[in-house]
Amino acid sequence: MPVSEPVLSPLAIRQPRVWAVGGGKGGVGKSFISANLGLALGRQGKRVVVVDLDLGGANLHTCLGMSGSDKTLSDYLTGKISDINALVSRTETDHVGLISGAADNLQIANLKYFQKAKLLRNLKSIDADYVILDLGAGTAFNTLDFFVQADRGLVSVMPDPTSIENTYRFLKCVFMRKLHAAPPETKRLMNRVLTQRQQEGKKIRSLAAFLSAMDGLHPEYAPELREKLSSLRLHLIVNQVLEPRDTELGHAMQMTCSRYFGSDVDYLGYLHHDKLVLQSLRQRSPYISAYPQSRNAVHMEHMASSLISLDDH
Amino acid sequence: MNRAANPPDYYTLLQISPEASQIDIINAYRHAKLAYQQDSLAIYSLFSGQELEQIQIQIEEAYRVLSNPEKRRSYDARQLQPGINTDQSPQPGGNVIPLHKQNTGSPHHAAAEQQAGACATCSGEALKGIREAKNITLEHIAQHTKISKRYLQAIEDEDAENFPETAYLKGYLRQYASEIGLDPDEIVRCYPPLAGHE
Repeated sequence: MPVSEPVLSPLAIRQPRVWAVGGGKGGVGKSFISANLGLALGRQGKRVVVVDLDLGGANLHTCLGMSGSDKTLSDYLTGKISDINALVSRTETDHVGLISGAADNLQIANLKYFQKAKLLRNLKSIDADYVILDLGAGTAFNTLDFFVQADRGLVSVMPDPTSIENTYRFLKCVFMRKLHAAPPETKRLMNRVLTQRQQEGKKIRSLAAFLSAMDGLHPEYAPELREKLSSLRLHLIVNQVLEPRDTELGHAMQMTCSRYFGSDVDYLGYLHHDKLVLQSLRQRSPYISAYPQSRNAVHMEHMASSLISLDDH
Repeated sequence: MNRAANPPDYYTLLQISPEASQIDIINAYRHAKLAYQQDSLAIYSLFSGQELEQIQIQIEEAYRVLSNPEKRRSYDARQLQPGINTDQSPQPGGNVIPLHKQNTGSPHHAAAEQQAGACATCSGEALKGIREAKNITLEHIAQHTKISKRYLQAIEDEDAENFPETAYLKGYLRQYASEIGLDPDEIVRCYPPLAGHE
C-alpha cells in the first residue's frame, strides 16, 4: 500500500520544497549531486537540509566532508528523538544542515510502513527553504515513495547502457507507483484494460500505449491519470560526461521518455567526469567548496538557480 | 483532441509545437534521428528492433512532410478537419476544408507537387540560411569534409558550372547537407540545379 498524501497542518505556513535525488543504479552520483546541489543552494542564501535516505548505505556526510553525526535518522525512527529538527547537524557551509542516515543498525535499511509514513509526514515540517532527499539505488517501495511524493524528482544517469537501463526501469516504477495512488474505481479499470488487451494478444508495450488505450476505452478516466503523471516534476542530470556527444544523451532521453511514458521529463543539465571529485572526497572536503571555479561547480550553481526560478514561478 | 492516438501526429512525434519554424523542425528532426538511431544509448532496453524501425520510418515521414511548406500546409489542414484523414468529409463550414479539398482533389496539383521537386526550401540560398542559423561556417564544413571551400560556395550560389561533372555536385551536396543536419537524399532530390537530372 502506498502512503497517502500527508495531511498538512494549516499552521505550517512556510513549508520547505522537497527535492528527491534518485536513479536506478548505484554509483551514478546521487549523493554527490545531493550534497553539492544543497551547498549550491546554500551559497545562494537558501536554508537547506539534506537528508540521507540511503539507509543502510549512507554516505552523504562523507560527500559533505563530515565524518558522521551523533544524531541520525534511526534515533528518530526508533523514537529516541521526537523532533525531526533536532536531528539536523550543521555543516561547514552556512544555511546548510544535514540529517545523517549513517547508523550501524542492522534494521535501518528495512523501514517499516509506519516509520516510512512518519518520515514522509514530517519532512515538510523541517525548518528550511529546501529539503533535499538523497535516495538509495534500486526500486524498492521505500525508495519510490519518497521520490514520488517529493515536489521535484532529480534523476542522475551516466552515459553507459547499464545506467540507462536502470534509469528507465526506475522511471517505469516511479510512474506505476504514482498511478497506484489512484482511487479504487480507476485502478479497477486500469487493471481491466491491461488484462483485456493481453487477451486480445496485444500486449501493452509502453505506458504511452496504455494511456492511449485508456483514452479509447474509458475517456472519462484518462485525464485523471495523465494529470497524476504530469504532477511528477522530473529532471534528468547526465553525470560523468566524457565526450561532447554524451551531452546529447539528455535531449535524446527526454525525447524517448515522452514517447515511451507519454510524460514529460526535463533535461536539467550535465556534469563532466572529473578526477577532482575523488580528490575532494579524499581530502574530506565538499567538491563545490574545494573547487568552486570548476566547470562542474558552475554547472551545479546553474542547475540550482534554474530549479529555484522554476519554483518561484 | 486525440493527442496520444496511434500513430502520434507529426508535431508530437518530433516534440515541437504546430507553430514551429523551419529551423525548429530541422533541429527537432536532427535530435530525433540521433535519439532513435540503431546504436543510440538513449533507447537502450526500451524498444525492440522492430519498434525502433517503425519509429524511424515515422520520423522520416514526419520530416518529409513538415520540411516542405506546401505539404505541411495540407497536412495541417487535414489535421484540423474533424474526420481524420477523410478527404471526402462532406461537412461544409470552416474555410480550411474547401482549401484542402482543392489541394488534394485536382490532379494538376499532384503533378505540380511531384515536379516541384525543385522547391524553395532546398535552394542554395535556403541551405545557406539554415547553415548560418546553425552557426556553422563554410570553413568548418570544408575542414570536416575535405571539400574545397570554393565548391561549397558554389553549392550555395547554385553555380553548377563550377563542377567538372554533375556527379561531383551531387556528391559534395550530399556531404554538405549532412554536415548541416539535413537529409542528403531529400536535398539531392530537390536541389534546383539538379532538377531534371536523374
